[in-house]
Amino acid sequence: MALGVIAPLMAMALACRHSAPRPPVAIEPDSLTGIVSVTGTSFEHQLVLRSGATATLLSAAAPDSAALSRLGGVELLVVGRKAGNHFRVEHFTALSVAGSPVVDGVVRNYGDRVVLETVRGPLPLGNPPAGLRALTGARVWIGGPLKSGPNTFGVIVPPQ
Amino acid sequence: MKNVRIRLVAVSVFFAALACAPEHRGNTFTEPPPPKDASTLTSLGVSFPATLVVGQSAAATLTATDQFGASMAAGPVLWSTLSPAIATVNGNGVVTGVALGQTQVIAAANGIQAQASVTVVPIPVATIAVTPATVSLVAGNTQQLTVVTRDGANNVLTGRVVTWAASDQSKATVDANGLVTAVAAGTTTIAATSEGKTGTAQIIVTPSCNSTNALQLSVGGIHTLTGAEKAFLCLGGGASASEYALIPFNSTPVAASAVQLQITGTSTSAIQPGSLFSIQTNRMTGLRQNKRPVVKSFEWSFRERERRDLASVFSRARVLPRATPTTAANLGPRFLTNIPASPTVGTVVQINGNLSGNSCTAAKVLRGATVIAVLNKTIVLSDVTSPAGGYTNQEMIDFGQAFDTLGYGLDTLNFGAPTDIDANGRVAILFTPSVNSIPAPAGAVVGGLFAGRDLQPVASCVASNEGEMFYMPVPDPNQTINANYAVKADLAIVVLPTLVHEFQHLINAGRRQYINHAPTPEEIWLNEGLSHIAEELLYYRMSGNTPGSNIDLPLIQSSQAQADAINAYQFDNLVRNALYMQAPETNSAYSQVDGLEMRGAIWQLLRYSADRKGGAESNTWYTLVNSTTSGQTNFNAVFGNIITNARDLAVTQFTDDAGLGVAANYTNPSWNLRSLLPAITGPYPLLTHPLLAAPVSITLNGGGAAYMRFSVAANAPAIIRANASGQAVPSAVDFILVRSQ
Repeated sequence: MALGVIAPLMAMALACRHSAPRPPVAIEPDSLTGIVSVTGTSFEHQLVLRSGATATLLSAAAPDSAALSRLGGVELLVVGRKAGNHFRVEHFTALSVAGSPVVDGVVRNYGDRVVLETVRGPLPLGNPPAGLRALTGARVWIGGPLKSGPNTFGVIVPPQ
Repeated sequence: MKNVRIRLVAVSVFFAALACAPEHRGNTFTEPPPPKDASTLTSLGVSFPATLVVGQSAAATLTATDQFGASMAAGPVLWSTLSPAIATVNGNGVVTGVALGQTQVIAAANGIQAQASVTVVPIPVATIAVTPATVSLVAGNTQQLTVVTRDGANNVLTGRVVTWAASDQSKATVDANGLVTAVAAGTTTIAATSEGKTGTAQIIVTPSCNSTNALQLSVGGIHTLTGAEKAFLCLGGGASASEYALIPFNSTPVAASAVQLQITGTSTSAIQPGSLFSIQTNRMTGLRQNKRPVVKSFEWSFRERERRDLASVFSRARVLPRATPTTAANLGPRFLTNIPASPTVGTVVQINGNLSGNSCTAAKVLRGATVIAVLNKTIVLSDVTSPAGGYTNQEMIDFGQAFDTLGYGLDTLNFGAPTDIDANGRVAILFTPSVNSIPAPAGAVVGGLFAGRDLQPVASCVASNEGEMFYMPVPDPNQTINANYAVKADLAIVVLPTLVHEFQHLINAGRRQYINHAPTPEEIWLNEGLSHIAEELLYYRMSGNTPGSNIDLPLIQSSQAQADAINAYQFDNLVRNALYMQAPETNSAYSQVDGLEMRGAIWQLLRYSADRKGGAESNTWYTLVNSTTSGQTNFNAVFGNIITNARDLAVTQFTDDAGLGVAANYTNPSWNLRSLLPAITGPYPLLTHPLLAAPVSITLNGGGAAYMRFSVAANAPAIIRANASGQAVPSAVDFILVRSQ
């Protein structure tokens, strides 16, 4: 009870101490969202993350670069760090496709049940299309109602 | 009497005090405590969970007490059950449910028995699945549904009581055995419930299908199905037999987005031999056959190589020219150059010929290159390490002249002038075995390439040659590098088309970066499409034909010059287009997978869209190249919505030059592919499926289309049904129906 009273007071005091104008501190973003596009030519390509009028050039290690190249048109959350004029991607998650949310995970087959393993735990898939069942072990994104389908899907990393 | 009572109380208190006193209070009393009797088992108790699931085991708990009521060990216990058919028990008192029912678990020790009741119950239902999950029924028809009940471990359970219910009995009813009767058009859900768990099936009741309520199209008629028609279409059955193509098209703008469809036909039959697309045309002897994998391998090698992006380089390089007037003439020289501003024939310059791995940050591998010609707009360079027996100087000069007089003007007219960062007013062509060394499968060659790195300043891209240039392979008849480049003639035929292709890339990259200040390079699919348009424009220039003239096989056969022109300049576009037609379901013009199928699709889409748009073509191409937007946004601004164009083109693949009298947006004004492609690939290559009673399962990527062909007999209408994994077809998938006969 007492802490409940004291803590706000402390916060107020701290707030008062810091209320004087301070010079802005540049903070490097550690994540971005946007839609991937693959630009350039066959010989040299570049990965770009577009968000509104902003286009951010991406770089990534070879495996991630290959995966990102499959995601043209997909909205992603990319996590990494800004390095010069580009953003170095350390990992990423598919968020939406054509405006509809998608789930990013790995397809697992348990008998006749298909599950998408995500960072938040396994998600059972109802009526998964045969094409998706065949992608066991692949990292994919899946759209549509997961419990009943129909599902749209795309491959991020093919099965090993 | 009163005194006696007082004395007795006193004595009692006295002895009670003694009895309660601790022994250490003194030695007043020396008698030991009275001996206790030995413990004897006098009672047993058995406790146990009241219920057991069949197959489940649980240990019974045994309690034993002696004559004093104290717990004690029971000693040897004999376990049994009254009915081993219901439950068994082992020597340790572990009881296992065998079958449904009730029985007693008995424990006996030292002549004493105890028992507990146990009820064996069924394994509870965890899930219940109803099949089929979706049923489409004509009103009045019936469908038997079945259920499968499973336990929590996914084992099938049998013999469970299931109750059935329909959510809307005005649409369909269901009896106690799961037999559904369709009542009236609409949708209802049938629920099957067992032990509190419920599974469902969706029932779609469709109206009856007869000749009077069936959709009737005239020959050449094109109809886009409604959502209800995708689920159930009653079609045809007029006075005469009819043939159709059903064309599902995935209108999702993301090419990687796949959806799976199942489509069935009732009362449909296969099209008759000799119908559209069964035409066999004798291959003309003057047209080259698709045996040389030049183009395929050209793309292959780049796709398979490790690709590294130029992200940081592109961004940094753009900074400097931004501060200067935005004309190509003012862009240089500002960098160190490897190609001299005033080259002299006979001199040797040093060029980075490293074309492996990371094209920008890999260390330079300098190669001597002799300047063999300085033309009006072109510098021709020959790698001093080229193998013997290759191009002569004159042959290389001829290539340079051809580019100088044809390719350069053609591309700059349509796409704009190139930059001139090396300030020599020219584009350099380097014939070098570095290209031959790019890994490629046996029999394949890389036709040539432009490296975007060369437009970047060395300060940020150490491998850059800082100049406008191309790399071209050299003949290697003695196969000193590999066997792929042994035949000079095979290599020579693609030099000029390759140069105009790569020149578009060079113009596009340079103008976007230095002149138009686009934030990024063009997306690959559109960039490559424009380069394939450059090849087609070269064909028009060389053949004397023009866009919109519906070029067909008789025209090509009309002279050797016509055949030569298509062989040299348009053959590869046609082959790529044929490859796309062979796999139109999982490929599209805006695919991010840079395959030959995508190349064939985007070339055709750009050609189709330009024909449809009309007006001066050079303005169209120029606008696309000189845009600050890219990809679909760029395309949409020039041609209108790409999905509309791609969908109409998908229909056009079937309807063009088929004599169906369709509207102009379902025609290809420039090319009669139905006439031409069979001369190269055999029958018209468009992939089709017969749509019959057996379900056809197809996967459609964004921009992909499928072609389902079927015929309908006279006076017997057909029913077409489609679903996506048992659910309604997503609205993003359009179904276009064409009557072809």
